[in-house]
Amino acid sequence: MRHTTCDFPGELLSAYLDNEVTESESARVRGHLQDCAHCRRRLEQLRETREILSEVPSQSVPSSFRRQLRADLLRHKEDKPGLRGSGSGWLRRMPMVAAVLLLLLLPVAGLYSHVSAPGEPLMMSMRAVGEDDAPADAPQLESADPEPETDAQMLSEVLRVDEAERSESIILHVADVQEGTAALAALADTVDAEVQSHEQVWDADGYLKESESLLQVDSDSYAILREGVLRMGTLARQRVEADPVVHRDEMSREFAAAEEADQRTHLRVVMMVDDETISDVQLDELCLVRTQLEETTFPAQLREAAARSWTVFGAHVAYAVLWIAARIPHLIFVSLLVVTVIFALSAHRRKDSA
Amino acid sequence: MRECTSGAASVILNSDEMSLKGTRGKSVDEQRMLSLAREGEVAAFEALIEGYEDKIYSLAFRMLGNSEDARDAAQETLLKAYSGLQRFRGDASFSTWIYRIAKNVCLDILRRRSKQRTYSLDEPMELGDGEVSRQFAGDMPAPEDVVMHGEVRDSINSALAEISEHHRVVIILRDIEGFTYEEIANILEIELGTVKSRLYRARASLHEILSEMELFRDRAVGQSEGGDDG
Repeated sequence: MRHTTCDFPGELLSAYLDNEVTESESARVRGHLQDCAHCRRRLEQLRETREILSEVPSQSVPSSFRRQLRADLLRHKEDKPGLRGSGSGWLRRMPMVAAVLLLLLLPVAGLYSHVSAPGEPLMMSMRAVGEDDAPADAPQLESADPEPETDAQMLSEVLRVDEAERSESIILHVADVQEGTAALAALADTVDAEVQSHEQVWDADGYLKESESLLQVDSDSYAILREGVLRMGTLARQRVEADPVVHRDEMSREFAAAEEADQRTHLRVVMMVDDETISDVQLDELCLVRTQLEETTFPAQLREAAARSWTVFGAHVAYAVLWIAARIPHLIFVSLLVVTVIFALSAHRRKDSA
Repeated sequence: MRECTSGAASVILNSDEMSLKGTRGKSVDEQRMLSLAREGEVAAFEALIEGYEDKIYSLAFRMLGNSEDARDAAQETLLKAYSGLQRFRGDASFSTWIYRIAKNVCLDILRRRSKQRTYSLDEPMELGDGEVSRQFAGDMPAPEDVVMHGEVRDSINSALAEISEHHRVVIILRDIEGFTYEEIANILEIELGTVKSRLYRARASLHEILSEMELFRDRAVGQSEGGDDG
C-alpha cells in the first residue's frame, strides 16, 4: 500500500458519498481515489457508518404522548389569553377594549371607591378577600368595635424553618379558624401575597377545624407578612397572659432568624381551633389586632404598605385631573361657541327691540 | 372541528416534503390551517404537526439517549412551537423551523445535564481498598452486552452518546433523518462547510467507536470503491 496516511480532505470524501459536491470536486475525488488506497478505505468506512445508521429504525412516541400533548396544549391555550379562540377580530380585541375602558373608568372608580382614614387600610380589604369564607352576616371590619372584650385567643408558634425550600411554617391557634383565615387573607392582600394553596378540615358539624395556607410573597415583603402573622398571634396571646415572657423571647429569636433569611418567599400558615377557647372570636377581635398593630410597634414597612392605598387614590385623582385637563381645549371651544351664540342672540334681540 | 381540520391537514401533510415550505407553495388550506393554529386552535395545530411527533421524538431520543428525556424534549418542542407560531413567518420551511426548536430544546437539556453531572467519566473512584473505575448506571447498556445480544440499535445509541453533541446532531439529521446538507445548515444555523466538516468528523468518530464494539466484524469491508451512489 503506497499511502498509510493521507491529508486529502475527509469532508470532501464524506460529501462525495452523499453527492453533495460540485462537478469539479467530484472529479477531484474520483481522480484521487484511483491513486489512494487509504482514502478508498476511508470512504468505505464512511459508507459503512452511513449504512448502519440508515438501518436504525425510527422511534415512535409513547402511546400516551398525544393525549398528554393535547392536554398540555389546551392548558397552554387557557393560560395564554392571546392565543385563545378563533373568534372574529373584534371579539379578539375585546380584552384590549376592556383594558382601555378600565383605564378610562379608573378615575371615576377612584372618586367613588371607599376612602378610609390614614392608617386604617391594613385590614380594609377584609370584606373582599374573605367573602368566600366569612359568614354572610359577618360585621364589616370598618365598623367593628375595637374594644378588646372577647375571651378568644390566638397563639402563634413557628413550626419549622425549611432553609432548603426557603419556606417556613407558622401555626396560629385561633378560636375561629374561619375568621382567622379571613384575617390572614386580608393581611396577605396588604402585601400582595398570593395564596398558592389552601386546605381546610371540617368537623362533623360543619365547623372549620383547621386550615393551611401557603402564601407566596416577594422576598421584600416577606418580613412584613411574617411579622403581621406573628403579631396576630402574639398580641392576642399577651392579652390572655399565657407565658408571655418565654413566648416573646422565642419570637425575638425567630424574628432574628427571619431577618437573616430575608430571601424567603413562601410562608405556610396553619390555623387550628384551640380547645381551651371559650367564646367565639369576633371580627372585632381581628380589628383589635389591626388597631394594636397600628398603634404600638407597627413596622414602618407595614405603614408604607398601608399608605399604598392612599397613593393609589392619589394617582386616581391626578389621573382624573389630567383627563379633564386634556379636554380643556374642547371645553373652551364649546364654551366660546355657547357664549358667542348667546351674545349673537342677545345682540339680535337688542337690534329687534331697537 | 377536528374532523374538518384533519381532512384539510391530510392534504397538507401527506406530501412528505411538506408543502409548507416557503410562502410561494402554500395552498389556501395550508394558510388557513396555519392561521387557525396561530390563533390557538389546538386541532389545527395538531393537524400541522401530524407526523412530526415521531420524528422529533426520534431525534430527541438519539440526542438524549433515553425515552424519558426524549418524551420531555418532544413535548417541550411542540409546546414551544405552538406558543411561538406567531413568530413563524414562513421564511424557512415549517419542518426546518420545528426541527430548529427541537435541536435547541435538546441542547438545553444536555447543557442542564452536564451541569448536574460534574464528574469525569474516566476519573477513578476512591473506594475503601483502592481505586476502581467509575461505573454509571445509565440508559445505555454496556457495549459487550449489546453485541452479545445483537442489539445493534442500542449499541449505535451508545456510540452516538460518545461523540460531541454538535457532531451527533449533524449525523442524526443526515444519516438517520435524511435531511439534505442545506436543510441541516438551516436547522442548525451554521455554514454549509461546517455541516460537511462536522458530518465527516462525526462519521469517522462513530466508525471508530463502532469498530471497537466489533459491530462491523461481520460486514464486508473494502469491497466497493468510489462514491457513485450519492
